[in-house]
Amino acid sequence: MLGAYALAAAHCIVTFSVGEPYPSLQGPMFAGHLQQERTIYVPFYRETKNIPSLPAHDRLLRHETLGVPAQKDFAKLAPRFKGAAYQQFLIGHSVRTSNPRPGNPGDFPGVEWSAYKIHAPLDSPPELIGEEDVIHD
Amino acid sequence: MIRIPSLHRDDALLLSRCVYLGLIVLLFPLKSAYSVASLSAEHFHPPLGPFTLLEAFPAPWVIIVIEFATYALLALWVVGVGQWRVGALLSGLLIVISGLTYSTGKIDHDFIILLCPFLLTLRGRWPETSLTFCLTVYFASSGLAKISWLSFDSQASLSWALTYFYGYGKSVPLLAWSLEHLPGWSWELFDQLTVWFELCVPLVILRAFRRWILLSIPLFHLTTVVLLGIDFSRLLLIYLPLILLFCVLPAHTSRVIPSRVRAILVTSCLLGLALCVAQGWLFGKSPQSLLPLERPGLLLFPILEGIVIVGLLARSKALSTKAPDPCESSLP
Repeated sequence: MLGAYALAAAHCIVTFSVGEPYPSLQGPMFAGHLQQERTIYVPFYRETKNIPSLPAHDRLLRHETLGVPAQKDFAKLAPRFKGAAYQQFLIGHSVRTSNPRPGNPGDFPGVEWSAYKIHAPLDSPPELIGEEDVIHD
Repeated sequence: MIRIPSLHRDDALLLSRCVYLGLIVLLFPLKSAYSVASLSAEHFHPPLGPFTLLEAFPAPWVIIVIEFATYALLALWVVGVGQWRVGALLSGLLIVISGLTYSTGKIDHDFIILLCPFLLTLRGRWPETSLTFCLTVYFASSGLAKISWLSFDSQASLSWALTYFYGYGKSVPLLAWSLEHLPGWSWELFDQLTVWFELCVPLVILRAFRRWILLSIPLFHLTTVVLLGIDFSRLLLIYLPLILLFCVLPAHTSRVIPSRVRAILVTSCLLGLALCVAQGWLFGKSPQSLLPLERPGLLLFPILEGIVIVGLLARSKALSTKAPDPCESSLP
Protein backbone atom coordinates (compact mmCIF):
# COMPACT_ATOMS: atom_id res chain seq x y z
CA MET A 1 0.00 0.00 0.00
CA LEU A 2 2.78 2.41 0.88
CA GLY A 3 4.45 1.50 -2.39
CA ALA A 4 1.31 2.50 -4.29
CA TYR A 5 1.27 5.92 -2.61
CA ALA A 6 5.00 6.36 -3.18
CA LEU A 7 4.73 5.51 -6.86
CA ALA A 8 1.69 7.77 -7.25
CA ALA A 9 3.55 10.63 -5.59
CA ALA A 10 6.52 10.09 -7.90
CA HIS A 11 4.20 10.26 -10.91
CA CYS A 12 2.74 13.55 -9.73
CA ILE A 13 6.15 15.08 -9.02
CA VAL A 14 7.44 14.15 -12.48
CA THR A 15 4.28 15.38 -14.23
CA PHE A 16 4.13 18.76 -12.53
CA SER A 17 7.86 19.46 -12.59
CA VAL A 18 9.08 18.02 -15.89
CA GLY A 19 6.15 16.90 -17.98
CA GLU A 20 3.50 14.25 -18.37
CA PRO A 21 5.15 10.91 -19.16
CA TYR A 22 3.85 8.06 -21.26
CA PRO A 23 3.69 5.16 -20.71
CA SER A 24 2.82 5.76 -17.09
CA LEU A 25 0.62 4.13 -14.45
CA GLN A 26 -0.87 7.43 -13.36
CA GLY A 27 -4.55 8.10 -13.52
CA PRO A 28 -6.28 11.12 -15.08
CA MET A 29 -5.23 14.39 -13.48
CA PHE A 30 -8.04 16.91 -13.68
CA ALA A 31 -6.06 19.30 -11.58
CA GLY A 32 -6.25 22.69 -13.27
CA HIS A 33 -9.04 25.20 -13.17
CA LEU A 34 -9.33 28.99 -13.38
CA GLN A 35 -11.05 30.52 -10.38
CA GLN A 36 -10.40 33.80 -8.66
CA GLU A 37 -12.38 34.16 -5.44
CA ARG A 38 -16.01 33.72 -6.50
CA THR A 39 -15.39 34.12 -10.25
CA ILE A 40 -14.70 31.20 -12.59
CA TYR A 41 -13.31 31.65 -16.09
CA VAL A 42 -13.98 29.11 -18.82
CA PRO A 43 -11.59 29.66 -21.76
CA PHE A 44 -12.75 29.05 -25.31
CA TYR A 45 -11.78 30.08 -28.82
CA ARG A 46 -13.67 31.25 -31.87
CA GLU A 47 -12.77 30.64 -35.46
CA THR A 48 -12.08 33.94 -37.18
CA LYS A 49 -11.87 32.43 -40.65
CA ASN A 50 -14.10 30.12 -42.61
CA ILE A 51 -12.79 26.66 -41.92
CA PRO A 52 -14.05 23.84 -44.15
CA SER A 53 -15.89 21.06 -42.41
CA LEU A 54 -13.33 18.76 -40.80
CA PRO A 55 -13.64 15.09 -39.86
CA ALA A 56 -13.96 14.39 -36.15
CA HIS A 57 -10.33 13.41 -35.71
CA ASP A 58 -9.07 16.54 -37.48
CA ARG A 59 -11.32 18.73 -35.36
CA LEU A 60 -9.91 17.17 -32.21
CA LEU A 61 -6.38 17.54 -33.51
CA ARG A 62 -6.97 21.19 -34.30
CA HIS A 63 -8.45 21.77 -30.85
CA GLU A 64 -5.56 20.14 -29.08
CA THR A 65 -2.85 21.66 -31.24
CA LEU A 66 -4.26 25.10 -30.54
CA GLY A 67 -3.71 24.43 -26.88
CA VAL A 68 0.03 23.99 -27.25
CA PRO A 69 1.05 27.59 -28.02
CA ALA A 70 -1.52 28.94 -25.56
CA GLN A 71 -0.13 26.78 -22.82
CA LYS A 72 3.45 27.64 -23.72
CA ASP A 73 3.05 31.35 -23.09
CA PHE A 74 0.22 31.23 -20.63
CA ALA A 75 1.92 33.56 -18.18
CA LYS A 76 1.88 36.25 -20.88
CA LEU A 77 -1.52 35.30 -22.22
CA ALA A 78 -3.28 35.50 -18.91
CA PRO A 79 -1.02 37.44 -16.50
CA ARG A 80 -3.65 37.95 -13.85
CA PHE A 81 -3.73 34.22 -13.10
CA LYS A 82 -0.86 33.21 -10.88
CA GLY A 83 0.13 30.11 -9.00
CA ALA A 84 -0.77 26.47 -9.44
CA ALA A 85 -3.99 27.10 -11.31
CA TYR A 86 -2.38 28.68 -14.34
CA GLN A 87 0.51 26.24 -14.33
CA GLN A 88 -2.02 23.49 -14.72
CA PHE A 89 -4.08 25.27 -17.31
CA LEU A 90 -5.77 22.78 -19.50
CA ILE A 91 -7.15 23.10 -22.98
CA GLY A 92 -8.96 19.93 -23.95
CA HIS A 93 -6.78 18.06 -21.43
CA SER A 94 -3.86 18.47 -23.79
CA VAL A 95 -1.02 19.16 -21.39
CA ARG A 96 -0.53 19.25 -17.66
CA THR A 97 2.81 20.81 -17.05
CA SER A 98 4.54 24.09 -16.38
CA ASN A 99 7.04 23.20 -19.12
CA PRO A 100 4.92 22.59 -22.19
CA ARG A 101 6.15 21.02 -25.36
CA PRO A 102 6.95 23.43 -28.20
CA GLY A 103 4.25 23.98 -30.78
CA ASN A 104 3.85 25.63 -34.13
CA PRO A 105 1.21 28.34 -33.83
CA GLY A 106 1.28 28.84 -37.58
CA ASP A 107 -0.33 25.49 -38.20
CA PHE A 108 -3.84 26.48 -37.31
CA PRO A 109 -4.25 30.22 -37.51
CA GLY A 110 -7.51 31.99 -37.42
CA VAL A 111 -8.75 31.68 -33.84
CA GLU A 112 -9.55 34.21 -31.20
CA TRP A 113 -9.31 33.29 -27.51
CA SER A 114 -11.69 34.53 -24.89
CA ALA A 115 -13.31 33.31 -21.67
CA TYR A 116 -16.76 33.01 -20.18
CA LYS A 117 -16.98 34.78 -16.84
CA ILE A 118 -19.18 33.07 -14.29
CA HIS A 119 -20.09 34.23 -10.80
CA ALA A 120 -20.06 31.22 -8.46
CA PRO A 121 -21.30 32.00 -4.94
CA LEU A 122 -21.22 29.35 -2.25
CA ASP A 123 -24.85 29.66 -1.27
CA SER A 124 -26.51 29.59 -4.70
CA PRO A 125 -26.03 28.13 -8.20
CA PRO A 126 -23.48 29.72 -10.58
CA GLU A 127 -24.54 32.52 -12.89
CA LEU A 128 -23.10 33.31 -16.30
CA ILE A 129 -22.11 36.98 -16.35
CA GLY A 130 -20.82 37.15 -19.88
CA GLU A 131 -17.54 37.18 -21.72
CA GLU A 132 -14.25 38.65 -20.68
CA ASP A 133 -11.13 38.67 -22.75
CA VAL A 134 -8.58 37.61 -20.15
CA ILE A 135 -6.39 35.80 -22.65
CA HIS A 136 -4.22 38.26 -24.52
CA ASP A 137 -3.66 36.58 -27.84
CA MET B 1 -29.43 -19.06 -2.21
CA ILE B 2 -26.86 -16.87 -3.92
CA ARG B 3 -23.68 -18.78 -4.64
CA ILE B 4 -20.58 -17.23 -6.04
CA PRO B 5 -19.12 -19.29 -8.86
CA SER B 6 -15.95 -21.07 -7.84
CA LEU B 7 -13.56 -21.14 -10.73
CA HIS B 8 -10.40 -22.95 -11.54
CA ARG B 9 -7.64 -20.45 -12.23
CA ASP B 10 -7.38 -21.51 -15.88
CA ASP B 11 -11.13 -20.95 -16.31
CA ALA B 12 -10.93 -17.53 -14.70
CA LEU B 13 -8.03 -16.52 -16.92
CA LEU B 14 -9.80 -17.79 -20.05
CA LEU B 15 -12.95 -15.88 -19.14
CA SER B 16 -10.86 -12.79 -18.36
CA ARG B 17 -9.24 -12.93 -21.79
CA CYS B 18 -12.61 -13.43 -23.50
CA VAL B 19 -14.20 -10.59 -21.52
CA TYR B 20 -11.29 -8.29 -22.35
CA LEU B 21 -11.45 -9.02 -26.06
CA GLY B 22 -15.24 -9.09 -26.06
CA LEU B 23 -15.43 -5.60 -24.56
CA ILE B 24 -12.91 -4.36 -27.13
CA VAL B 25 -14.96 -5.81 -29.99
CA LEU B 26 -18.35 -4.68 -28.65
CA LEU B 27 -17.70 -1.38 -26.95
CA PHE B 28 -14.11 -0.19 -26.72
CA PRO B 29 -12.32 -0.59 -30.06
CA LEU B 30 -8.56 -0.42 -30.15
CA LYS B 31 -6.99 2.85 -31.16
CA SER B 32 -5.48 3.08 -34.60
CA ALA B 33 -2.40 5.18 -35.24
CA TYR B 34 -2.87 5.03 -39.00
CA SER B 35 -4.65 8.39 -39.10
CA VAL B 36 -1.65 10.19 -37.58
CA ALA B 37 0.80 8.69 -40.08
CA SER B 38 -0.06 11.37 -42.62
CA LEU B 39 0.66 14.23 -40.20
CA SER B 40 3.75 16.34 -40.62
CA ALA B 41 6.52 16.58 -38.05
CA GLU B 42 5.11 19.91 -36.85
CA HIS B 43 2.24 18.00 -35.25
CA PHE B 44 4.57 15.59 -33.48
CA HIS B 45 4.56 16.45 -29.75
CA PRO B 46 5.67 13.24 -28.03
CA PRO B 47 5.06 12.89 -24.30
CA LEU B 48 7.96 12.50 -21.90
CA GLY B 49 9.33 9.01 -22.40
CA PRO B 50 10.57 6.69 -25.15
CA PHE B 51 8.56 8.40 -27.89
CA THR B 52 10.83 11.43 -27.63
CA LEU B 53 13.45 9.32 -29.41
CA LEU B 54 11.41 9.70 -32.59
CA GLU B 55 11.55 12.86 -34.66
CA ALA B 56 8.26 12.41 -36.46
CA PHE B 57 5.42 9.98 -36.93
CA PRO B 58 6.52 6.73 -38.56
CA ALA B 59 5.66 5.91 -42.15
CA PRO B 60 2.18 4.45 -42.80
CA TRP B 61 3.56 1.02 -43.70
CA VAL B 62 5.29 0.80 -40.32
CA ILE B 63 2.00 1.46 -38.54
CA ILE B 64 0.23 -1.10 -40.72
CA VAL B 65 2.80 -3.73 -39.74
CA ILE B 66 2.48 -2.84 -36.05
CA GLU B 67 -1.31 -3.01 -36.13
CA PHE B 68 -1.36 -6.25 -38.09
CA ALA B 69 1.02 -7.78 -35.55
CA THR B 70 -1.17 -6.47 -32.72
CA TYR B 71 -4.29 -8.16 -34.04
CA ALA B 72 -2.40 -11.38 -34.67
CA LEU B 73 -1.03 -11.36 -31.13
CA LEU B 74 -4.48 -10.59 -29.75
CA ALA B 75 -5.80 -13.71 -31.47
CA LEU B 76 -2.97 -15.84 -30.08
CA TRP B 77 -3.41 -14.31 -26.64
CA VAL B 78 -7.11 -15.05 -26.35
CA VAL B 79 -6.49 -18.66 -27.44
CA GLY B 80 -3.85 -18.92 -24.74
CA VAL B 81 -0.84 -19.51 -26.96
CA GLY B 82 2.61 -18.31 -25.94
CA GLN B 83 1.79 -17.26 -22.36
CA TRP B 84 3.80 -14.32 -21.05
CA ARG B 85 5.80 -13.79 -24.23
CA VAL B 86 2.68 -13.17 -26.29
CA GLY B 87 1.20 -11.10 -23.47
CA ALA B 88 4.30 -8.94 -23.18
CA LEU B 89 4.54 -8.41 -26.94
CA LEU B 90 0.85 -7.62 -27.17
CA SER B 91 0.96 -5.09 -24.35
CA GLY B 92 4.10 -3.58 -25.85
CA LEU B 93 2.52 -3.06 -29.26
CA LEU B 94 -0.68 -1.67 -27.76
CA ILE B 95 1.43 0.85 -25.86
CA VAL B 96 3.32 1.78 -29.04
CA ILE B 97 0.07 2.43 -30.92
CA SER B 98 -1.36 4.51 -28.08
CA GLY B 99 1.88 6.44 -27.63
CA LEU B 100 1.93 7.39 -31.29
CA THR B 101 -1.65 8.71 -31.16
CA TYR B 102 -0.84 10.62 -27.95
CA SER B 103 2.10 12.26 -29.69
CA THR B 104 -0.39 14.66 -31.26
CA GLY B 105 -0.78 16.30 -27.86
CA LYS B 106 -3.55 14.63 -25.87
CA ILE B 107 -2.75 11.82 -23.46
CA ASP B 108 -5.34 9.38 -22.14
CA HIS B 109 -4.31 7.37 -19.11
CA ASP B 110 -4.87 3.90 -20.43
CA PHE B 111 -1.54 2.29 -19.61
CA ILE B 112 -3.12 0.08 -16.96
CA ILE B 113 -5.61 -1.21 -19.55
CA LEU B 114 -2.88 -1.91 -22.10
CA LEU B 115 -0.74 -3.65 -19.47
CA CYS B 116 -3.59 -6.03 -18.64
CA PRO B 117 -2.90 -8.59 -21.41
CA PHE B 118 0.62 -9.11 -20.06
CA LEU B 119 -0.45 -9.19 -16.41
CA LEU B 120 -3.07 -11.85 -17.16
CA THR B 121 -0.32 -14.16 -18.42
CA LEU B 122 1.62 -14.11 -15.16
CA ARG B 123 1.76 -17.16 -12.96
CA GLY B 124 0.16 -17.85 -9.60
CA ARG B 125 -1.74 -14.99 -8.01
CA TRP B 126 0.34 -12.35 -9.73
CA PRO B 127 -2.41 -11.35 -12.18
CA GLU B 128 -4.84 -10.16 -9.50
CA THR B 129 -2.07 -8.85 -7.26
CA SER B 130 -0.47 -6.78 -9.99
CA LEU B 131 -3.79 -5.54 -11.40
CA THR B 132 -4.88 -4.44 -7.92
CA PHE B 133 -1.58 -2.67 -7.35
CA CYS B 134 -1.82 -0.86 -10.70
CA LEU B 135 -5.36 0.27 -9.89
CA THR B 136 -4.29 1.63 -6.52
CA VAL B 137 -1.49 3.65 -8.14
CA TYR B 138 -3.95 4.85 -10.79
CA PHE B 139 -6.40 6.19 -8.23
CA ALA B 140 -3.81 7.47 -5.77
CA SER B 141 -2.00 9.52 -8.42
CA SER B 142 -5.32 10.95 -9.55
CA GLY B 143 -6.13 11.93 -5.97
CA LEU B 144 -2.69 13.37 -5.19
CA ALA B 145 -2.83 15.54 -8.30
CA LYS B 146 -6.06 17.04 -7.00
CA ILE B 147 -4.70 17.95 -3.56
CA SER B 148 -5.39 21.59 -4.31
CA TRP B 149 -9.09 20.69 -4.57
CA LEU B 150 -9.13 20.33 -0.78
CA SER B 151 -8.84 24.09 -0.46
CA PHE B 152 -12.14 25.74 0.41
CA ASP B 153 -11.23 28.80 -1.67
CA SER B 154 -12.20 27.22 -4.98
CA GLN B 155 -14.56 24.55 -6.28
CA ALA B 156 -12.67 22.72 -9.01
CA SER B 157 -15.44 20.29 -9.90
CA LEU B 158 -17.72 23.26 -10.54
CA SER B 159 -15.07 24.78 -12.83
CA TRP B 160 -14.92 21.54 -14.76
CA ALA B 161 -18.68 21.24 -14.94
CA LEU B 162 -18.91 24.79 -16.31
CA THR B 163 -16.12 24.05 -18.80
CA TYR B 164 -17.96 20.99 -20.07
CA PHE B 165 -21.28 22.81 -20.27
CA TYR B 166 -20.25 26.16 -21.76
CA GLY B 167 -16.93 25.25 -23.36
CA TYR B 168 -17.72 21.80 -24.81
CA GLY B 169 -21.48 21.97 -25.02
CA LYS B 170 -21.87 18.61 -23.26
CA SER B 171 -25.35 17.32 -22.56
CA VAL B 172 -25.39 14.66 -19.86
CA PRO B 173 -28.27 13.63 -17.61
CA LEU B 174 -27.55 15.85 -14.60
CA LEU B 175 -25.08 18.46 -15.83
CA ALA B 176 -27.51 21.21 -16.77
CA TRP B 177 -29.79 20.47 -13.84
CA SER B 178 -26.94 20.55 -11.31
CA LEU B 179 -25.55 23.83 -12.65
CA GLU B 180 -29.01 25.33 -12.43
CA HIS B 181 -29.91 24.12 -8.95
CA LEU B 182 -26.90 23.11 -6.87
CA PRO B 183 -25.25 25.81 -4.71
CA GLY B 184 -21.49 26.27 -4.61
CA TRP B 185 -21.04 24.47 -1.28
CA SER B 186 -22.37 21.22 -2.79
CA TRP B 187 -19.61 21.36 -5.40
CA GLU B 188 -17.09 21.88 -2.62
CA LEU B 189 -18.49 18.74 -1.02
CA PHE B 190 -18.00 16.93 -4.35
CA ASP B 191 -14.39 18.16 -4.44
CA GLN B 192 -13.71 16.78 -0.96
CA LEU B 193 -15.42 13.44 -1.61
CA THR B 194 -13.60 12.97 -4.91
CA VAL B 195 -10.13 13.60 -3.53
CA TRP B 196 -10.56 11.61 -0.31
CA PHE B 197 -12.14 8.70 -2.17
CA GLU B 198 -9.34 8.48 -4.73
CA LEU B 199 -6.73 8.72 -1.97
CA CYS B 200 -8.45 5.94 -0.04
CA VAL B 201 -8.65 3.41 -2.88
CA PRO B 202 -5.19 1.94 -2.01
CA LEU B 203 -6.76 0.94 1.32
CA VAL B 204 -8.53 -1.81 -0.66
CA ILE B 205 -5.43 -3.84 0.14
CA LEU B 206 -6.58 -3.85 3.77
CA ARG B 207 -9.40 -6.31 4.42
CA ALA B 208 -11.28 -3.95 6.78
CA PHE B 209 -11.85 -1.40 4.03
CA ARG B 210 -12.11 -3.66 1.03
CA ARG B 211 -15.85 -4.16 0.70
CA TRP B 212 -16.63 -0.47 1.17
CA ILE B 213 -14.17 0.58 -1.51
CA LEU B 214 -15.36 -2.13 -3.90
CA LEU B 215 -18.94 -0.95 -3.41
CA SER B 216 -17.96 2.70 -3.89
CA ILE B 217 -15.92 2.41 -7.09
CA PRO B 218 -18.87 1.81 -9.48
CA LEU B 219 -20.90 4.53 -7.73
CA PHE B 220 -18.00 6.96 -8.07
CA HIS B 221 -17.70 6.30 -11.79
CA LEU B 222 -21.48 6.48 -12.28
CA THR B 223 -21.59 9.87 -10.54
CA THR B 224 -18.82 11.14 -12.80
CA VAL B 225 -20.75 10.03 -15.87
CA VAL B 226 -24.11 11.53 -14.94
CA LEU B 227 -22.73 14.73 -13.47
CA LEU B 228 -19.81 15.57 -15.76
CA GLY B 229 -20.19 13.22 -18.71
CA ILE B 230 -16.76 11.69 -18.11
CA ASP B 231 -17.10 7.99 -18.82
CA PHE B 232 -14.47 5.67 -17.40
CA SER B 233 -16.33 2.53 -18.44
CA ARG B 234 -13.24 1.44 -20.35
CA LEU B 235 -11.86 0.49 -16.93
CA LEU B 236 -14.20 -2.48 -17.01
CA LEU B 237 -11.44 -4.06 -19.07
CA ILE B 238 -9.65 -4.24 -15.70
CA TYR B 239 -12.54 -4.56 -13.26
CA LEU B 240 -14.24 -7.58 -14.82
CA PRO B 241 -11.07 -9.71 -15.10
CA LEU B 242 -10.31 -8.79 -11.48
CA ILE B 243 -13.75 -9.92 -10.35
CA LEU B 244 -13.31 -13.20 -12.21
CA LEU B 245 -9.91 -13.76 -10.63
CA PHE B 246 -11.36 -13.05 -7.18
CA CYS B 247 -13.73 -15.98 -7.78
CA VAL B 248 -10.84 -18.42 -7.93
CA LEU B 249 -10.75 -20.78 -4.94
CA PRO B 250 -7.28 -22.27 -4.42
CA ALA B 251 -8.72 -25.53 -3.09
CA HIS B 252 -10.67 -26.14 -6.30
CA THR B 253 -8.79 -28.55 -8.50
CA SER B 254 -10.87 -29.23 -11.60
CA ARG B 255 -11.99 -27.00 -14.41
CA VAL B 256 -15.71 -26.31 -14.60
CA ILE B 257 -15.96 -24.91 -18.13
CA PRO B 258 -16.38 -27.76 -20.64
CA SER B 259 -14.05 -27.92 -23.62
CA ARG B 260 -16.93 -27.30 -26.01
CA VAL B 261 -17.89 -24.08 -24.23
CA ARG B 262 -14.26 -22.95 -24.19
CA ALA B 263 -14.08 -23.52 -27.94
CA ILE B 264 -17.30 -21.56 -28.53
CA LEU B 265 -16.09 -18.64 -26.41
CA VAL B 266 -12.73 -18.45 -28.10
CA THR B 267 -14.21 -18.84 -31.59
CA SER B 268 -16.73 -16.08 -30.92
CA CYS B 269 -13.95 -13.77 -29.78
CA LEU B 270 -11.87 -14.55 -32.86
CA LEU B 271 -14.85 -13.91 -35.16
CA GLY B 272 -15.45 -10.59 -33.46
CA LEU B 273 -11.81 -9.69 -33.85
CA ALA B 274 -11.92 -10.65 -37.53
CA LEU B 275 -14.93 -8.40 -37.98
CA CYS B 276 -13.04 -5.49 -36.42
CA VAL B 277 -10.08 -6.07 -38.71
CA ALA B 278 -12.32 -6.31 -41.79
CA GLN B 279 -14.12 -3.13 -40.77
CA GLY B 280 -10.89 -1.23 -40.52
CA TRP B 281 -8.83 -2.58 -43.36
CA LEU B 282 -11.26 -3.76 -46.00
CA PHE B 283 -13.80 -0.97 -45.64
CA GLY B 284 -11.37 1.74 -44.61
CA LYS B 285 -13.33 2.68 -41.51
CA SER B 286 -11.74 3.78 -38.26
CA PRO B 287 -12.20 1.27 -35.42
CA GLN B 288 -15.81 1.30 -34.27
CA SER B 289 -17.71 -0.48 -31.55
CA LEU B 290 -20.39 -2.98 -32.58
CA LEU B 291 -22.78 -1.65 -29.94
CA PRO B 292 -23.73 2.00 -30.50
CA LEU B 293 -23.76 3.20 -26.88
CA GLU B 294 -22.90 6.85 -26.47
CA ARG B 295 -22.04 6.57 -22.78
CA PRO B 296 -21.71 2.88 -21.92
CA GLY B 297 -21.00 3.75 -18.30
CA LEU B 298 -24.63 4.72 -17.71
CA LEU B 299 -25.52 1.06 -18.30
CA LEU B 300 -22.36 -0.77 -17.29
CA PHE B 301 -21.61 0.80 -13.90
CA PRO B 302 -25.03 -0.01 -12.39
CA ILE B 303 -24.52 -3.57 -13.65
CA LEU B 304 -21.04 -3.63 -12.10
CA GLU B 305 -22.46 -2.37 -8.81
CA GLY B 306 -25.02 -5.15 -8.90
CA ILE B 307 -22.32 -7.74 -9.55
CA VAL B 308 -20.26 -6.43 -6.61
CA ILE B 309 -23.28 -6.44 -4.26
CA VAL B 310 -24.25 -9.98 -5.25
CA GLY B 311 -20.68 -11.14 -4.88
CA LEU B 312 -20.31 -9.62 -1.41
CA LEU B 313 -23.68 -10.99 -0.23
CA ALA B 314 -22.85 -14.45 -1.51
CA ARG B 315 -19.46 -14.27 0.11
CA SER B 316 -21.01 -13.28 3.47
CA LYS B 317 -23.51 -16.14 3.19
CA ALA B 318 -20.79 -18.63 2.31
CA LEU B 319 -18.64 -17.55 5.26
CA SER B 320 -21.53 -17.77 7.70
CA THR B 321 -22.46 -21.34 6.68
CA LYS B 322 -19.07 -23.05 6.67
CA ALA B 323 -15.94 -23.22 8.82
CA PRO B 324 -13.14 -20.85 7.83
CA ASP B 325 -10.62 -22.34 5.42
CA PRO B 326 -7.06 -21.06 5.66
CA CYS B 327 -6.80 -21.39 1.90
CA GLU B 328 -9.79 -19.12 1.17
CA SER B 329 -9.60 -16.89 -1.89
CA SER B 330 -8.88 -13.19 -1.71
CA LEU B 331 -12.56 -12.24 -2.06
CA PRO B 332 -13.46 -9.82 0.80
